[in-house]
Amino acid sequence: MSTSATEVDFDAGDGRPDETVVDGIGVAPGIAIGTMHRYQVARPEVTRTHVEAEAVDDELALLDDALDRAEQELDRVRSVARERLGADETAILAAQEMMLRDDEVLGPVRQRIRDEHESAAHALSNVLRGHRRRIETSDDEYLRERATELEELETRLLQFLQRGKTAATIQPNSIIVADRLTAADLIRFQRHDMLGCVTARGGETSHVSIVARALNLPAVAGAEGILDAVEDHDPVILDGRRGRIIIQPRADTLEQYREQRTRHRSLIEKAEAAPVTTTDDCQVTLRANVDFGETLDALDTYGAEGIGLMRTEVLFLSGREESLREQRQYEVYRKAAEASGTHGATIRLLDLGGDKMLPFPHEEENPFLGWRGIRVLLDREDDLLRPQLRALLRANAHGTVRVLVPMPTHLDELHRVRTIVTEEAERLGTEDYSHDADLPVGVLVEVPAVALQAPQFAEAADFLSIGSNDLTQYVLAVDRGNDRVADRYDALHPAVLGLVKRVVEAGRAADTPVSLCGEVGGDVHALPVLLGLGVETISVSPPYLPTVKHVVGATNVADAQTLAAEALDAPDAGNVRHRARAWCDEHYEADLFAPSEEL
Amino acid sequence: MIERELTVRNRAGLHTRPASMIVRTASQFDSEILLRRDNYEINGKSVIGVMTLAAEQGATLTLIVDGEDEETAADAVEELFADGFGEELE
Repeated sequence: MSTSATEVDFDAGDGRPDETVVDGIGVAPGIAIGTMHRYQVARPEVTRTHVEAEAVDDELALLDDALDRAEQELDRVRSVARERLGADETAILAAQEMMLRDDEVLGPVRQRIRDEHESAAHALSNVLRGHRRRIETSDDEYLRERATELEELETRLLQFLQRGKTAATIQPNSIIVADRLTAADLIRFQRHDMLGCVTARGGETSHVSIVARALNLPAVAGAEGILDAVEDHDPVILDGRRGRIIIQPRADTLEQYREQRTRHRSLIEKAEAAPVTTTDDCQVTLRANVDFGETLDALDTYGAEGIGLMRTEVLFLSGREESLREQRQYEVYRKAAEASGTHGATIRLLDLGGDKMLPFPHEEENPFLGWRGIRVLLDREDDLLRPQLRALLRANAHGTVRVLVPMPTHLDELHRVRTIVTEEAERLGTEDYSHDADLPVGVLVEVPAVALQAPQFAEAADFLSIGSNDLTQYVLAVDRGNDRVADRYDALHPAVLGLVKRVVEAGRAADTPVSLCGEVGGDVHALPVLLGLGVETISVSPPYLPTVKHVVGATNVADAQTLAAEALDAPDAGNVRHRARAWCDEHYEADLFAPSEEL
Repeated sequence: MIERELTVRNRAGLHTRPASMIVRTASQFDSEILLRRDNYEINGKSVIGVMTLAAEQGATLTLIVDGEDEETAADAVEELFADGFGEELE
């Protein structure tokens, strides 16, 4: 999280007559105040063309290292943005990964290094240039443009070959302005404490925008004319919610924006890891959704009561055997358990399939209804499920770990997981590994069948977690990655809410804890509806926590129950949204929304 | 060895996504899989190779498959083309 170090000292006005305002599309909310850094995507120059004969092996190793790092960067893009990417974006990432392993292209590159003693950069440029030229000869404009994808690949690899020299040139606390950026650029800049970004092209659905939102970086896209309006080091304000860039702001404008930002920050500073009490004394637990291997500092910063959902697919995205090993998994889960303290960490078993790529070649007609989640794991018990459960049992000795089973449909699947947990705990005992066999096993309520059979699942499981994203998708039969139907997707549909209520009630009757993880948990207008339905534990991405806490703390659950009852009877999702908005306007103070909208 | 004529049916042609679909499918088979356009021939298991075909809608390619599982492999690749890679055909 940004601290006072991000405060940039500059004199408002700075000699020029007045501030300049450039408008674009606000693609990721938040306010950044900093200095402008113009970023030009120049291809790094290849200065060294040949290497000495004895340095050939080093040069080959350098190439492999660059390929590895490029792949890690792709993993990172996917991990920060996962579950928010649409089908097309996922496919493009998959293609980029294939390019990094394309031996038809890399073979000749290696050969040039080995036989001609060319430098890795030179060889790579030479080989890729040939392929690019071929594409550029196409008569079809759209296909011709695909050459830019090879160009981007080349640029990235060249940057890695130069060991990050190009990327390191941005000043900390810059607001980046560029004609366009890639998602990978954004992730790289974030390591240099970039405050926000502006692009002249692009729009809300671009990759960059999705990643910016996932990283909680204010961003404006489609700001035409921005490159002509700013110079390097200009003081600027970026308003990611309104889609506005103010260059050389006046003193009063600056003051106004600083106030807004302070108000938002004070919410974060007050964050502590304790249940939030509603105005009528109900206790609500707020937890964090995190990714495998992600830094866990955010738990403290935003005051999460432990981890409500840790996704583990990142393990597989790289496809590296090594990352699958039990020991490596154990180390990461142990950290999660330790960081979560007594609140505990809920860790989801590998949820592969659907839109999430499998580590092995596999095509399905209908992947969302196909081989995914626990269905894959039970078919691949020995190499996938057992090592993961062993790692979790061992991590459980260092804290409180809970296991979440993804995509169950049949009670059998839960029973089978429990059997394996018992078997592996026994084996760990005979092998003398320290572990804790008391490992709660819960199910993710995503398939409508589970919500409908909630009483049975509540009896059999140690806890239930409502995965609202997938539950909505399956109840409404809408793939939200499909632009043609995405507007028909809304977790506030009365049918979805009815199932949420059913699950909550079943949990209560069986004395089984129920939580909700999914984007709707961070949706300010949806919160009173969920609380009114009886949801008492919510897990969201850490940056959403301050706002969610604030809203929950201002809610009267008894009043919210009236809203929830109306929502269940409403004809459609649009009607529920309308009612929820009106309810929020009536029950919350207006300023509750001002800071929340900055998120 | 099998040789078949294939036509690119989807409107956008063999851009990145269809190219990766071809490669993913081709890579599931042991057979050697080549695609030829005029006199230019590429390995169907290379995504950059497939992209260099720059095959627009209506372009015809020759699919050449050679190996133990050539029959199923050729059928699988042909199906992708026939289906327009799940994209718009008009």
